[in-house]
Amino acid sequence: MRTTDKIVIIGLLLGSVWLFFSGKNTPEKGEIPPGKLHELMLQKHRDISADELTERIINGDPLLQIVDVRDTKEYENYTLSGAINIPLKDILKKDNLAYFDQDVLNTVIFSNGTSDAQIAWNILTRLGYKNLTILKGGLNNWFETIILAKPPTGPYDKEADELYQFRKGARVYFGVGGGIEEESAPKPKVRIPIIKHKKKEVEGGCS
Amino acid sequence: MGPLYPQGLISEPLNLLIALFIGIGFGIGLEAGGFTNTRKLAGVFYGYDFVVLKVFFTAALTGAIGLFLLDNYGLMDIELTFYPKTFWIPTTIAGIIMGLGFIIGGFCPGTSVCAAFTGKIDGIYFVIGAFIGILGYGFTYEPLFEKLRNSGGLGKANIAAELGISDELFIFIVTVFAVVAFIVANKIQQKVNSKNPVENIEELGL
Repeated sequence: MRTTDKIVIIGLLLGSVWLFFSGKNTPEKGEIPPGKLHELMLQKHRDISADELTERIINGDPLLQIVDVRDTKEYENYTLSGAINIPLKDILKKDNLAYFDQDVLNTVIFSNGTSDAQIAWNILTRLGYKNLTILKGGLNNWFETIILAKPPTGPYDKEADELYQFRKGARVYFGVGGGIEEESAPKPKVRIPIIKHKKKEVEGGCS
Repeated sequence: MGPLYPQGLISEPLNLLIALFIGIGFGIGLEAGGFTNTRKLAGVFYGYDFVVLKVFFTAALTGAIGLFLLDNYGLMDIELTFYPKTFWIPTTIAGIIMGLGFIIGGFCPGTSVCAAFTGKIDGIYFVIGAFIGILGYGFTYEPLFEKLRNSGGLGKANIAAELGISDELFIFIVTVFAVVAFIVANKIQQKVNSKNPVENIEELGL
């Protein structure tokens, strides 16, 4: 064997051993370090407003994936058009994680308020999933903003009036005409997102 | 810190300029290593010269070890580097075609361009052939190849994750495999060359 071959072999072996031992100090495989998580949490586009989400639902945005993390009972009672139900307690199940293991769709997570959606966002972000947003104020705020929209008060304001008209139109879209009749709205077919091969073990590796 | 371009730390023109210099260095390295010689490249298939195997293994492992070391020490965010998705059916077919092209033509795409620029006629023909193939594929992609191209999709496949081991352990295993391959290749090379001595190709002036 030539000297250069020996040097290459020794170099590669030493390098791989060094790498093997250096990996022990890193965070668990696939997890995001606290600094990066903090940075992601403070990003402005992490939240989506009730109006923006409504507009995207009405426009049939093909890149939108809505995830309702409330209990199945609550989901069956009422949910947003096209939302899929992944209860918070089941979020780490392999089949459920497959919905988030993609980089094409924008996933909007919501619960009644924001705390459960926030917990789901934290777990999923730490697992390295991307394009996750939270519905600002949750379903309660969405219901109050869109379904119970009140006409603007005070002097005429074009923008406020347009927003009110939009909310009134949205109310009809969601099957709420003169009163609250949400049950009459035909539930759109649940969109099946692209489910890709599982990227990583939930529990992480042994690095 | 890195990668520089995806994080907007360097501009696109500077990124391309750096790529140009790396490309020039790569070309010089290929030529200096004798990789523009078809006999040296094809030697791996006939057993008289395994330098291609050794260089490819060394390059892949140096890249892998270096990248993961930088990642482990916080100098590179490996999540931001390009990670192609795996489509096993078209990849297997393309691998067979490329292997056949390698044996028949004696070049791979990079070395053929180097050979063409050093004036080697076989290299020039190889590049012309490759361009005809590229154009043929491009113009017939939708009717002929699109379905095949998208078949067998596995997403961002990662063998280490599938095996449930860390990337570091996987790279170590591949390194051990490469070392064994180096030793076996040397033995085969010695055996083949002792039975049928091949002149030192550098001395042939090719």
